[in-house]
Amino acid sequence: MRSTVFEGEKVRLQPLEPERDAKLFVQWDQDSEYQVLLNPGPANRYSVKQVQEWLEKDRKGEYEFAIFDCAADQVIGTVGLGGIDWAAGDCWVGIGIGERDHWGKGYGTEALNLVVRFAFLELNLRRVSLNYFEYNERGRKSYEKVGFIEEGRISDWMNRNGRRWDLIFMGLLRRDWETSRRV
Amino acid sequence: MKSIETQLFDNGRFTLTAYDLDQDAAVESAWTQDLLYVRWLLDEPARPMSAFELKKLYEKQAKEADENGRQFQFAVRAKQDGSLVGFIRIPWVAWNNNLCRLRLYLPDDAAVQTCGDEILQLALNFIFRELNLELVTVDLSEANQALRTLLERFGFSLEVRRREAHYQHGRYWDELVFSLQRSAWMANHREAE
Repeated sequence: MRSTVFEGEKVRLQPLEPERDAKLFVQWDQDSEYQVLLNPGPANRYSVKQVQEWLEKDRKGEYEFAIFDCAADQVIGTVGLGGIDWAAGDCWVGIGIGERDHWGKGYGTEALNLVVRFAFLELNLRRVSLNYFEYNERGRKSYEKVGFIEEGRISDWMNRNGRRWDLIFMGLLRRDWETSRRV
Repeated sequence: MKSIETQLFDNGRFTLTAYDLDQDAAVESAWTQDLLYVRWLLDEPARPMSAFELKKLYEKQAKEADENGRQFQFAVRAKQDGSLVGFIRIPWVAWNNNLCRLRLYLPDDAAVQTCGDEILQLALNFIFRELNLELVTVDLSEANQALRTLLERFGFSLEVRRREAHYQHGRYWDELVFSLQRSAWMANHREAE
């Protein structure tokens, strides 16, 4: 028996390789829009050495993957699960597509589908959580395609470009995901 | 708005102090027999904690607070006899976004009901008057009805309901996120003064 849980049609998930991926992370961070979509903190620049050291740290209890575009034979982003509450079966997912020419083409949605499948079928979790910033409309569409639904928003949560934006929470329950797969 | 003479660390019955590592750890260890209390101390399934573990935790938190400037924590003591009543912990301030997360640690529902108003008032005074933040959020289990009632009395609004994200006593509960904007607090506070 062979498990293909990490393999999709366009992408597959594979382990992060600190030496290879640190250079990519630094390159992606040059695009401040990418950083602003991912992080609530101030956008910043880090050296390859700093990023590599960060990637080499033992992050117990986190499952972080490189998103690999099979056709182009390149790593295009990252996706990971963390903050796992084993008693409640809850976890948080984060995803970023660093290669701008891959934005809006379904790569992130497919990677998210793969990591959700991993959470439910291999880690035996019951729900997957995420949050995103109000201005990330493209992200929202992708999350909805995977089956996430909004569970609320903290109004005026963050500052960006001179105004405040909401932080929006979404969740996907395993039973809803299973039902949608059957349909 | 009151003047700068307003005392941030004292009100009617209570005073905020630094932790007393040995004595507070011994008291809090007894509180952790209640798993609802300890649920928010650990990022792992709740269990009672020893005074030794708690002392290490206090030291770690104090070191982090000192290094990163994004955490604050106070022991709440009764003025009358100096006994430990609870803790106010601000585990995360996002300075660029002018917001923080707040956690109140009180040993049981009775303490929330009898002391909660004054302690929450001290916490909010510190957050809005001294840290000058715009927003505070509190996350809690739906099971924690006493804290929920307290937050609502202070004008916090329920913003997020994370379905079945919390497990305790053999069943799943929703996790709730409440928030309070500075503007709402100021409006309420002006009325009160």
